[in-house]
Amino acid sequence: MLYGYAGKMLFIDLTTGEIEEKETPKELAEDFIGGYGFGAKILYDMMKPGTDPLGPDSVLGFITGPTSATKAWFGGRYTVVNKSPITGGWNDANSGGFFGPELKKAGYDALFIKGISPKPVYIYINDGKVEIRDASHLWGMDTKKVWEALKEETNEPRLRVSAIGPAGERVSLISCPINDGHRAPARGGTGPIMGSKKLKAIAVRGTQNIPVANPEKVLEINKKVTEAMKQSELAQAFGAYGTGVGTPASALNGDSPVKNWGGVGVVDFGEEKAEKMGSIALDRYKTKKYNCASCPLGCGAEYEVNDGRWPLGPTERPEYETAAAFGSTLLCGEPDAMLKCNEICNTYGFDTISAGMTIAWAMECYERGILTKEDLDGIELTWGNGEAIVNIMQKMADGEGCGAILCHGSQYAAKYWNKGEEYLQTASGIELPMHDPRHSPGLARTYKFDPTPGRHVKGGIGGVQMLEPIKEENYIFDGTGPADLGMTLFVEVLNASSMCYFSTLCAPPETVYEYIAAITGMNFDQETAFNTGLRIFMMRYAFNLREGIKPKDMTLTKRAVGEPPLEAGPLKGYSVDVEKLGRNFFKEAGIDFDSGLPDKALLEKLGGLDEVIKDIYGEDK
Amino acid sequence: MVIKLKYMGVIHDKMPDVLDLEEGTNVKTLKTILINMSDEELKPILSNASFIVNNMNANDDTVLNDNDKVLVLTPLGGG
Ligand code: SF4
Repeated sequence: MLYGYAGKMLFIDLTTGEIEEKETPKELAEDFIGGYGFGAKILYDMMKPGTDPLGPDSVLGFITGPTSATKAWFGGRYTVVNKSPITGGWNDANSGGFFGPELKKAGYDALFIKGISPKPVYIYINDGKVEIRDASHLWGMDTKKVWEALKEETNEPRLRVSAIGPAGERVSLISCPINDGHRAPARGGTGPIMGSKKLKAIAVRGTQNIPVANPEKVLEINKKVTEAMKQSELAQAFGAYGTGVGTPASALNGDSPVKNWGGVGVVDFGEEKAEKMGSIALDRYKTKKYNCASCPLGCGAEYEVNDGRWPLGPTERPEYETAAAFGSTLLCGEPDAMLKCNEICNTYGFDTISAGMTIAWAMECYERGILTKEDLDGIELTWGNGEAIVNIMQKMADGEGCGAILCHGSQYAAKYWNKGEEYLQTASGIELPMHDPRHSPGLARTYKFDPTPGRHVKGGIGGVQMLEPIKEENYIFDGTGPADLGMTLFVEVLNASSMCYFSTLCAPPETVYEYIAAITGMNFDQETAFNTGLRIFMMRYAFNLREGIKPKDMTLTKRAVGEPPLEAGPLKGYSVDVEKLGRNFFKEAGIDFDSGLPDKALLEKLGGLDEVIKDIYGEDK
Repeated sequence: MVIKLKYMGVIHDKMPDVLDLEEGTNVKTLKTILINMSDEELKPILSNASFIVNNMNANDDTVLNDNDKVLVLTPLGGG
């Protein structure tokens, strides 16, 4: 028996309608844990280089991890993996809620989908029974309505659904599925893959128990985590107000980007607007706390908004990233507009970061006369104009007029209009997240050089700097490799285990390893963790390398690294030597920065990477 | 000398908006003063807070002047 796993994986071909069940191999579990560890290995094996991400050979994975559907605190996330239609390289994005554990309880550690269905379908999984069902009647429906409709149709009130909305149906490049009404594996182009496959939703219901090697130990670790949580001020603050507790401070201390990354919070945005966009102020709408599955912290909340220009009724507390993307980034201090955009993104299925950042790009282009009022269907897209922001967002959601262009993200729009490219704020084409590397320099390395570019949840030294005041020593770029790699590999393991990143606010790092050991019965010490993390990293990295993407090909736009440096505010004068951070990191990881080649002996030592070695170094190793 | 204070994040109620300090007080001393007068649960938050003085980043050695405007920010990057 494979402790910690459902023991089976599903492979579905939507072209032929074939459904295949395979055992979860023991070696896969040992070598790659779960999540995008599984995903990178399986997509590497199933997909040829050069595969069209939106074509029939493109594979999309939904994957749980060993902590999912167990009693382990914070263990409820699932990961979506695919080839990004934006970067042409590797993509993974994870999400909380209840969908992941339900998939596992329904009998499957993971689900991989290829092919293109001739008509809209949804996949229905109920305790080991799998069907591809017609979804013609659901096409056009928003993500919340689909969830309700499917609960009724299947007569399963506890059904969990991950569904695209109209944005994904239109193959919008910045669209995503939404599960549980408001949780999203959003980034990098997950929605367009579902849309291109005519896959409206995956609906799961499960009641099976997952075998755990040492259940008492899991409870013991839980106790430790609960104690640590009580001691952690950060965890307490997140538990009370969610990630949005930091929105005002981040807007002013340089952590949040301001005015499409060209502005300064204390100068251009100001305290009054900053405070209005934070969740301490917004929680006047709070009706209920929201915890994902197995989460003792609960950073979410349900809201009821009955005032302002857009009385939404029941909605959800926006996350920090959303509040910043539709706040300081657009110089918008109108919370009702931000709440409305959050709701549009959740119902139509958009990545809020990319949506906000795309509007920020358009705003700057409008201010500079690059995009005209005619380009924008008569909308005066001036900085901070909440009404204009909502109008543009709605057009993107409806795929109407300029929205039909902007719904594919800023890079696509700049190419389409053939202007404004110099105002993009992206990493390899992905809109940057809401933490500024000029404030936390290590993030420049992650944004630019992680195999999944433009992410703030990939660990590294930037992940720690983000939580600290600005420190001079963070701008010394020598010798960063060991710490940067160590903190990256820890997060590789964390993500693969399906634990939430916010567990790190209170649980010491070794907690993840202890959970994995207790659940799977594997010996999971520091050394195993390091090697496993590096193996997973190499697998994602190799996916890109096989597509011809080397470190030198990865891009990060200049404002993010202070070229030129800001002229005012707390980040005045700072810039980041991202090339050096990258060289330090790759050297430590055993990868030659210039050629992009990983060290053969290291790959052999790590094991589980035979296909990668064969592809890079030839048949006879 | 008198400085004005503004707090963002979980540090709000009960903390002073104005403080009368000795000439030459630096941010480190100000931090200690604030920690001493704060509730128990705020102390660790304050000790890790960012201080922005007249819109510029300040470190422990930054010397405060009369009429300075100090922003005390909880570094809570997340999400
Ligand atoms: S901390 Fe927040 S995102 Fe993470 S599992 Fe808990 S509720 Fe979900």
